[in-house]
Amino acid sequence: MTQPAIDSPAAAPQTRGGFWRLLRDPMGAVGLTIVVALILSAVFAPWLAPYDPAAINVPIKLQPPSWDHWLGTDQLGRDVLSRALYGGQIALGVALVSTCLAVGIGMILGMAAGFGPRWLDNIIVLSFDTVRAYPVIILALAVGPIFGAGIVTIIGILVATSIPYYGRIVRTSIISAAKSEYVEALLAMGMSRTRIVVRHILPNIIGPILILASMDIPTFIAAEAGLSFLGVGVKPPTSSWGLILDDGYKFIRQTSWLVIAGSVPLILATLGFTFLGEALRDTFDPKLRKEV
Amino acid sequence: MLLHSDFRPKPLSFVRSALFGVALTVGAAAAGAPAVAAEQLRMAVPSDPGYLDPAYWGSTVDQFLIDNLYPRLAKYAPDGKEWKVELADAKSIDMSDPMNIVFELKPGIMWAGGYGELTAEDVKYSFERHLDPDLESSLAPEFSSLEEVEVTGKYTGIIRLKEPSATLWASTLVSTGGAIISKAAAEEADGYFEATPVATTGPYRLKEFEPGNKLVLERNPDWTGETGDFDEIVLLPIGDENAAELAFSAGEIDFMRHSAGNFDTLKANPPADSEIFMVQSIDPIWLGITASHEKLQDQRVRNAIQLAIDVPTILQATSGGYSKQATGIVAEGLPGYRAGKELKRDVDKARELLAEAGADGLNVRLDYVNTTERNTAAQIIQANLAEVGITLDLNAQDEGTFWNIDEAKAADMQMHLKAWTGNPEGFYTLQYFVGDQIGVWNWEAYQDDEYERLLEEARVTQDAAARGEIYETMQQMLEDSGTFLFIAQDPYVVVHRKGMVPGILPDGRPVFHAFKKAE
Repeated sequence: MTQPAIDSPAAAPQTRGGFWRLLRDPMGAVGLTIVVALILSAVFAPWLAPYDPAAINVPIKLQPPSWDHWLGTDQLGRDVLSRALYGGQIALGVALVSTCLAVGIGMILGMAAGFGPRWLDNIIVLSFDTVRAYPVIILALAVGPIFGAGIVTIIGILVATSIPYYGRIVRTSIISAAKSEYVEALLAMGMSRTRIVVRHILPNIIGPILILASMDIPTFIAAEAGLSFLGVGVKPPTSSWGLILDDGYKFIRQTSWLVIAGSVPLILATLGFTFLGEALRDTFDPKLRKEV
Repeated sequence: MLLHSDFRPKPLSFVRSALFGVALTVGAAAAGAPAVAAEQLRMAVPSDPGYLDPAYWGSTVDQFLIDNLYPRLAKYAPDGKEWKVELADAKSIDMSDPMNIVFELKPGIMWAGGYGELTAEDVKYSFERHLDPDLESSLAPEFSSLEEVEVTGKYTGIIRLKEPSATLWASTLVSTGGAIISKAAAEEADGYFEATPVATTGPYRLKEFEPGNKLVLERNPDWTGETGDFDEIVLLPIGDENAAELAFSAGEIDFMRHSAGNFDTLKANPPADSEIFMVQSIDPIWLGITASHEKLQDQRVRNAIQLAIDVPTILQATSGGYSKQATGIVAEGLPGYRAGKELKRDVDKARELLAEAGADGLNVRLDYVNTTERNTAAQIIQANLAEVGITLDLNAQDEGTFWNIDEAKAADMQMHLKAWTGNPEGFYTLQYFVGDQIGVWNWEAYQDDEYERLLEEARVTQDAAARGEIYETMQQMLEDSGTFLFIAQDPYVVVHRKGMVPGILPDGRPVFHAFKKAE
């Protein structure tokens, strides 16, 4: 039996021309440029970094910027530019992996809660509320010593504390969509709930969710830096922006360059992803477009 | 003259404090009785005290307070120049018989809190309690040669020894371990107390203790001996040295002693109204390599680790080159110092030893207290060991976690980087590297019968120079075993208000009553 042709409301293509609209938005263009530059610098760090980021050279410790060391050196004489470039791999890697996992798991749980039986919804919502009750930092400080500091621990903490956020949004969207006429029509025609969710509801909500996720990436980057600063994150000799900041704080009486070197990439990443996220929202959110 | 008031405005709340000050002045004037501010000496200390019972003391702050609040027979002179012993609360001490130390206390020394006068009974109680196995005193090894304290009069007694022990006097009785507590007060507390001392004597007594905030000592009205210039001593726990420097610059503290890493910066850009100088510490820092751990049981592996590490580079990074590489537990200038015995780095030899031992791809863990200096040193050690193919996992811990050891932790100990409070007498530290102390203080699990024989020989050797020679041999044995890599006795930087004369021991430890105000 073939399914009747019933279009869900947002099934019309949205991406055509969207990229150019994004580029025409100054905020979008700046955001995209920064993000692309950060990603390229992280990916090509092994070729761009002038020195081995772990190479210790104590006689030249805490040097200000110079032609040899564009961002100076740290307390062990390591080249800060090289460490910042490699630190980008950690920051972006952690942020992207955490975001993908949090969005993916959050969507699955949100869909299960929104379209599943009532008892399942109650359990999932209770779990979301329980996890959300813990501030990220407190949870990190409690869990970090148990599992040991490291990238996996950071990602685990960020994913665990972000799943409820995405899950709740998906759940609400599905509950809202489930009451719509087109879903009721599809149900009346015998289409399975799973198929309705996957084929008709999900395409409607995935866009806004991805826009939200892109705007959360800087939060993840800052969280990674913060957790590394607190000693829960990556461990030496791995470089991260948080560790550079931590060193900068410890040696701020001797030099301020370490703090600057750790802060600038964080600020750029935050600005870049925020600009891009907002521009994406303005460009692709149909509701906003109509208002415009 | 320094005058510090409880109402000193803080920079960030100056306006509010100034208004408060105006209100206070108006209020005081209206009442017709202007408030008299106590003259305070405010010190930054690394932490709160943990245990003020001499049986359990552990931290630097415990030591500061025990040394300043409890009476003792003799003490080190606070002239800041040399380790010179002088009488403290004893009127006389006769050590002409090596088996019997005869003492007479000064009369009229009163315990605060109404616990009466300091007597020979207190001395007997204080020293003999360390031998009680139920107390589990950490000083038990130091008192192991004590037979008893015989009380011969209200103020007189004889410390009787099982065997002649030069070190009981030199390393224990004149140091923190020689603190005397009030028998009456301790018994009232069932013989056990922690951060609140049961009764004290001396120029100052405890006024208030707010954990994490401050500990205040005030003048002891019952004290008839030499008094201090300041009405109150305020200890502020500021673990972070940058924060302590900022507090000093803001006028919040008057004295601090911290690591030498910032010395050049401080000298180049000194806080206003400050004097800065460096003192030589006797606190040994070393890398401990636990011989009992399965990864480190092969002595060749331990020796390879020793040879792979670049100690001069560590010192350059952590103390700006002001530290000298240590040759042992004993600091330069003291009996037992091993002159010219610095271990030289030899990467090729290290690789050779690892290859012989078949220790390819070795992965070990280094535990240390999470401070700037230790973190810096640990990262250099990590890089050095990577050169010979050893992967080092860094495990920075807070101070409490690091020092808290139980059976499970002792069994899992691999490598650790640590400093101990030193003592001019080498025996003080060396006595802990024996079989009985494995899993307690002997984290290296070092055990050697010959070492323990030499330890007993040192204990009964009266001549300090001869004891020093024994200590040299013992330290050589520790190094050869591969369980110790001696790093330094790092100097300290002392920063204090201009004009003030700090009362300190040669390593910068404060003696509260010996601080003199600026004229």
